Amino acid sequence: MILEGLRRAFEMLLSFDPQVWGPVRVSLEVSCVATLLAAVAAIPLGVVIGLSRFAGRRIIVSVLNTMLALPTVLVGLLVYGLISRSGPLGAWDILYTPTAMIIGQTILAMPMICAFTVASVERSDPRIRLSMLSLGAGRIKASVAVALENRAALAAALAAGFGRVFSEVGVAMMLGGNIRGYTRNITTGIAFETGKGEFALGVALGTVLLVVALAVNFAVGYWNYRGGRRQ
Amino acid sequence: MQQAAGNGTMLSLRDVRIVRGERTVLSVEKLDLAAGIHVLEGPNGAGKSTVLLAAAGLVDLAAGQVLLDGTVLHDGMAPAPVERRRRIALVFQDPYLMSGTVREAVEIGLKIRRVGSQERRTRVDPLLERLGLKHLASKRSTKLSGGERRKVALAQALVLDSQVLLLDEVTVNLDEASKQTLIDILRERAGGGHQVIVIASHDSELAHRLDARVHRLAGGRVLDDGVRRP
Repeated sequence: MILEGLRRAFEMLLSFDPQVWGPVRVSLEVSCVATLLAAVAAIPLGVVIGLSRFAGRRIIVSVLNTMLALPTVLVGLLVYGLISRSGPLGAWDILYTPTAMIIGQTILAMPMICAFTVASVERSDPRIRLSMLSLGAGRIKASVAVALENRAALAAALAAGFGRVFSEVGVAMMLGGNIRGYTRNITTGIAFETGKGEFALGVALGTVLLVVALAVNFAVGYWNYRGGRRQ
Repeated sequence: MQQAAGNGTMLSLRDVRIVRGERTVLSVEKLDLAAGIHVLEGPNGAGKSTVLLAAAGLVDLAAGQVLLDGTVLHDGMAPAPVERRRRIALVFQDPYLMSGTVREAVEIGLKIRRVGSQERRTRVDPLLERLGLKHLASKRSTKLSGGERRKVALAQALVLDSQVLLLDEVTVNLDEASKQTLIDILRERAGGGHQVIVIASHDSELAHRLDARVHRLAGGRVLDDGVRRP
């Protein structure tokens, strides 16, 4: 059954079957936007936490690290409570839309990107910030320099955040509703089609999921390798 | 014995105390550094580098003030306000160069000050030439040798032409020719009469060659004022 499923899966992939490529498009669009939004908030926050020393900092870092294991369905449940018709943001009318999926996935990716950024900044060379300050930079410019000098680690943080949201199913199912051609993505598609007995379609979607995850990690690895060679 | 503040005094430390953990690592009641060249001498852990960090506004002061021409440069938590720090340039004992080319590294302080590209080139090129770095201008800073990195860090600070120039163990890794070039540059700058140059060094010969005032430090205290060695 597995081999037959694989054969049919490749046929569907190569024939650009919309049943496969529709969910792939949704997955890529939603997860890319969510990762970017999460990065915009999480990277500056992570740099600030990583470079600052204040009371309660350790607790914040511990909470961030704990949130790395945040169950996706729990995030889905919380956002559902906010945006469902009876929720405080029900008037927005965004439940079961890609926007709702983006909100949920952004919340999911933020702790991971932030925690990875904190860890990389903490491990970075303390001379970077001091050098910039000694050359007349303000605190923000010095912090930006620390981030730029650690761009390889930040790229890895982005890849990890993307991997987290691209492969999750809880948020996508609860907030997207798995509507065909609209909010069905790779993971909800796999769950749905396999449940229906459409094993080949599930395998095809799973193959794309795996290939994209691998491609992102190879791209980050290659970029780091090239950066290392240039240095 | 401390040097008395004279009319020409530019950089002063007053009742400066720096604490790390529970330990006081620097306690300077009064240190006045007039325009010219000063060398801080002392064994490891004497507080030489800490004096430079305090003067640069890069270390928290538990007490006291750093003054430049009578105005406060730094009197509390580091970093000191940026407009005050821009009057000072510091070369670290183990300098870090940002990734990029040598030219980009040397220009970085000027870029931070929003100096235009034409003026940056006008100021950077002669310095690269003089320090023997011109042929390395397009080379990536991470590919440099220890001595070359030190010269780039020096160029970064010298090009700013700041009122106060702080140099930590600046002759380490420099060959004799480069050391002499640096000495010539520093003497020229000091001759202008507007710049305070402070060097932390173990090189006992350096103070003599620079005709510098020597301040001995030990245990985080200044032992004597700026005496000139014959």
